[in-house]
Amino acid sequence: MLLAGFVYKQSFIISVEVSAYFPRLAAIALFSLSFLLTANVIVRSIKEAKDDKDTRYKGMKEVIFAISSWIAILIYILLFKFLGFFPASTLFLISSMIALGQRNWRLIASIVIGIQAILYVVFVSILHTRL
Amino acid sequence: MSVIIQELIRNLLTIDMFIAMVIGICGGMVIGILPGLGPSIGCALLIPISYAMEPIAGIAMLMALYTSSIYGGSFTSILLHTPGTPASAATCEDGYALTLQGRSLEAISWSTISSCTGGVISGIVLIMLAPPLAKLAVRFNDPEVFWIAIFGLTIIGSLAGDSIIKGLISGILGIILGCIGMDGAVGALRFTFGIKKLYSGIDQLPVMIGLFSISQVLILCEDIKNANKSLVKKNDKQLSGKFTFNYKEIVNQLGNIFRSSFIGTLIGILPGAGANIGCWVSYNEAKRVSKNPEEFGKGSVSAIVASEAANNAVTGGAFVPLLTMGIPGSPVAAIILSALLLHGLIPGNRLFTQQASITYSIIVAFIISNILMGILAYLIIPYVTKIVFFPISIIAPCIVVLSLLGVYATKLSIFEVWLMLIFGLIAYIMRKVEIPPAPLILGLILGPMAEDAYIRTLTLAKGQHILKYFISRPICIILMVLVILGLFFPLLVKVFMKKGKTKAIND
Repeated sequence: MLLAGFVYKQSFIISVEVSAYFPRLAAIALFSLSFLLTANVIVRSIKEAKDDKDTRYKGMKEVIFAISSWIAILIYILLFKFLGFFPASTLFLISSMIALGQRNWRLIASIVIGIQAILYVVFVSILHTRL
Repeated sequence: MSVIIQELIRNLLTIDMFIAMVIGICGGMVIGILPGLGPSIGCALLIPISYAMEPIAGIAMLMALYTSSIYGGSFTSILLHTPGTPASAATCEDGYALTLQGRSLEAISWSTISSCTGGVISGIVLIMLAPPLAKLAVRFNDPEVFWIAIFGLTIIGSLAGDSIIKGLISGILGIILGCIGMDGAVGALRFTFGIKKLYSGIDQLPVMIGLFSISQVLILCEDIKNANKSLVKKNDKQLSGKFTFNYKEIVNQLGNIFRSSFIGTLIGILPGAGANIGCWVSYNEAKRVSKNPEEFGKGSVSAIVASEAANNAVTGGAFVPLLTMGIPGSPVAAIILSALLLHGLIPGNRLFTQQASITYSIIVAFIISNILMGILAYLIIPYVTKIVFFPISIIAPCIVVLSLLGVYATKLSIFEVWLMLIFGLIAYIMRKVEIPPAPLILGLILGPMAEDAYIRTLTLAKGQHILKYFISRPICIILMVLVILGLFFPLLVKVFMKKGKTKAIND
């Protein structure tokens, strides 16, 4: 609902009026649907509370692991920006495989070297991509 | 006629032709498998090589690459929930669900047979009906494109799963994302917040890779304790690498294959529509007529057959306006047009009359390359499907590296990579709150298409009431009826299913 309100407000800044109609329509539709969904969730929560159901979310540990993985990918992108693709990918592949519990060093080394080699051939040699 | 057939046999039964097709097929499959690379890049790379070849072999190689790259995208879509090309996004959910059930070999085998058949059928349609179908393509203007886009948006209802409201929210988010950047009709800047990279809008590739691949990696990394285990348990059927089709299943799926192939061919004929829409429309139709629509999204073979047959059939359909009128309906078709012109083949009536032997040789070569693609695929499928036996600790980081490079390589811009990461997080949160991410992609593709077509239609209507103008066009009326059916059909299905369940309980 907040996003819908924001989009609706921003649509008044658009310089050409006809270009603002579509986003405004989409914002109204988004607001209406979000309101319906929120109402639906509230009604369901009240029902579940009456039935003494435990409605607390139980997967916080998994979410924390996922967010940590996301932060690791963010760091990888930052390293890619400063070090280049191949050094950053080597560091990322090795550290993430270890973090996920892989201990077979031969497998790690062959995957890292193998993938980098294939990507070098396809992207650098054939496609001339600057990495 | 017999002269043309003799020339066909002479042109096609050469080693050059065979090598050209194999190069096109192998190159296409590699390009399709790597996320981010599309058939446009492959075709652009092979144009100089095609110029050094005979015209028929050169063009046949490019067409083989186009069709096999669309097919190749299904591999990663099914095995890793990472669509190799946007056309394979519809195969993702059901293909990956089958992988998790230990049926990846079955999924890829069905994808192969559907893709080959879709391509062959579209090639046959191209031979028999190219000139009359071209006349149909010419009658499609902005009003018809608007209703096609709206029809595509009604598919959101069927992609929504159990909650239509959540599916619609996802679709509308996609439409809002599509509004970012310069408006297509007037050129006004919208929601760019001064960021120059947003002036050209948000590209669908980083959004798609983020929504499907990165979010999948985050979900795989949730269970760190079991990250050293593979996606699926090893089973003898998968390890054998051989899948035998059940004769009854093939007969059951024949109707689906033919219907999806014709849908794909028709959509391919329309300039601008493309494989990205064809797979979703076909998916929706297959779900609508299926006896078990509740299986769609959870590992339905019919879903894979529908989307893969359609997205390969689009490739043949795209050549109809290209060869008959020189109108390229997609970036790949534009590249192939330049190849045709380089070889001195001018699209138009002459191609089908004076240069008929060359044109029909190229089309027959396209049909043969679809069959050859299936044969080559069967050689590599037993090895490719063993990827699922690698532990998650290997697969997840590799998906990230491939996705990052694929997104970066298209525009050499780190901004696209950041977008991919942001949408990966957004999709993860969406999947956690059970909002399906697939409708968002559909909204992103079709929203701008609908808006631009609508604004241009207002100009074409010249002051006439817009509804009156739509009703004055027969094709628009047909599309409007399809839209109404598409909007209300999922609701009707839900109501009937509820009634059926209540009746079953009472009995």
